[in-house]
Amino acid sequence: MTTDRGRIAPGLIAPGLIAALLLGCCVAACGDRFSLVEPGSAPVGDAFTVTTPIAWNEIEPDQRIIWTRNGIGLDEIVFFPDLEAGDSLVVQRGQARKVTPMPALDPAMAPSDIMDLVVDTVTRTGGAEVTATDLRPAPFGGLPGFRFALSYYTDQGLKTRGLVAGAHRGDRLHLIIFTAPAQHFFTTYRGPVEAIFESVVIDDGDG
Amino acid sequence: MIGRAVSVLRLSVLLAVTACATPVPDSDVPPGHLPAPATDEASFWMVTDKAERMAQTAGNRVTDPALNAYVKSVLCRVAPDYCDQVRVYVMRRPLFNAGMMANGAMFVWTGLLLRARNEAQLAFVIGHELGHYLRRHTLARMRAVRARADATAFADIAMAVAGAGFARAFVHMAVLGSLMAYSRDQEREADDLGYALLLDAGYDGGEAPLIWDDLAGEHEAGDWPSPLIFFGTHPDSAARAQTLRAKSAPADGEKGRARFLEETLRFRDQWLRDELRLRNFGSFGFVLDRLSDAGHSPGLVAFYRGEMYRLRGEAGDLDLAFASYRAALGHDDVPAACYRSLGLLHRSHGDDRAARDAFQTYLAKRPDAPDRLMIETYLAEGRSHDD
Repeated sequence: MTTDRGRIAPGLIAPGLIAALLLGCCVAACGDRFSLVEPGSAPVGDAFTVTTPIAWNEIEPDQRIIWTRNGIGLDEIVFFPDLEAGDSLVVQRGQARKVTPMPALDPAMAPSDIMDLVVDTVTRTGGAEVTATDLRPAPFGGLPGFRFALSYYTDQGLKTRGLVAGAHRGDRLHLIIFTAPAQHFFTTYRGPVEAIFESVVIDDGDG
Repeated sequence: MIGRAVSVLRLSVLLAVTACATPVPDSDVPPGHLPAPATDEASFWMVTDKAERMAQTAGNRVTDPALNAYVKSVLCRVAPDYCDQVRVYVMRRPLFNAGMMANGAMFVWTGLLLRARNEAQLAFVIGHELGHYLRRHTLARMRAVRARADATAFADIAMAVAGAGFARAFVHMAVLGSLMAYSRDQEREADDLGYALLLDAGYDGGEAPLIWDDLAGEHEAGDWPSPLIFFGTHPDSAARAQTLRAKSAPADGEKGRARFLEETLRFRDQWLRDELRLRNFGSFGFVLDRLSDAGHSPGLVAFYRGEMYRLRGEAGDLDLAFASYRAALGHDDVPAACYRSLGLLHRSHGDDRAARDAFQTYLAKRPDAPDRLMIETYLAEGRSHDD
């Protein structure tokens, strides 16, 4: 595989950064924990529902939900149904939480701050030259939300792109992060992911 | 040519002296050295060759030609006979670190370049790491690690020393740090050789202890665990600074401050952002204090102090953030992002007029702002509150 840095990289697939950390295990060992999400409506925790035009494989580590078509590292959508004050996108344990805590959510954060939090987290988890662009208002299931684009290199030099959508709901944050290698995978799944973003329906809890 | 001959002779004498003082099982590394096949050294080279290849394509390898050429030039001045043999890689990583692998690949983290006050300090660290390599401490350490760690950890260590890729688990790195720690004798030997190389290259020897002073101060300020691989496994920084300070240094040694700043100042914004991302505010505040004392880029330093207070969010930090941002505005090098941060703070506290002024200035200074559309939305919201 030729990287965007010009040389042949070792034949490892660079794992999606946040997704890989959430999994905390190799993909093969986690294979039997995936379940199939058929095209159609799918709940995201108790927070909201999305409609997907294509099928995905789903796994649920640490109260997040990850969808992938071809495997972690090739394409992944990470759903954060309900982030609360003090939550990070990556769960830390032990000494690291004290000495170098991950960027954490503050309910007062504006979308600009959320964008910075995502950039900082992706950088902390191995992304290089992480840039966010095109932060703009965008409805999230009727809530006044936001979207922006991501671009970075993985720790193995693979150019990766992403899309982020989210919205505050009271003192909680709903967030969706899609990332995939820029070559082929991002362009292939961008359309279905944007359709998922457009399809969000907030669960009002009436059940 | 004569200067180089003298340099080689001095180096040889130094190595001989230190060898007599401290028994070392292996001989020194001559220029152009290659390990004999079917030796453990050759097998270590294979592992580190692989780590070096990964570092070459790593996302966080700094490819700026001028910066790489500058750091390499410092190596070549410190050790001209090893200039062709040693490959230098600058890795974009926060925290102070530099390392050298058994195969002659040297890695310098940008966190070190942020903290060094001048070229002499950078030269000392390069000479120190070269000292570990030349005295075969690196080889001895790899033998010890190999005996105690499995292959995965061994490869992880090679990658972690390089700073390439992602240090997967903080605690894992701390454990690896304990495996990788040089002995006190080895550190002393590397300090001695680094110091000798520093003087021989015409630098001010008085700069050497200041590196360890600052490292000790930051370690304490940040409440970092020890040993920690990110700190280059350098224990007893304060004691080592004292030892170096006791050595006599020529009064006319060069500091190389102007040249160092010329080559590194343009990266300071991104390197400070990298440090702030670690969210160790004690450590970050210490670094800012040192930069502030040096007096360069005052607007940038004041802005980042404001960012530190804003993100730390402890009692009283809001006022400190505002004060820092306002202090930054008084300097020519204030970044556009300062107006953005001010605008966000004012907005969150209901001061729409002040937020509007700050946001408008931000967009004027940064027409290509990645959040322009969102900022314009904030401005529209503010205007609607006025109506």
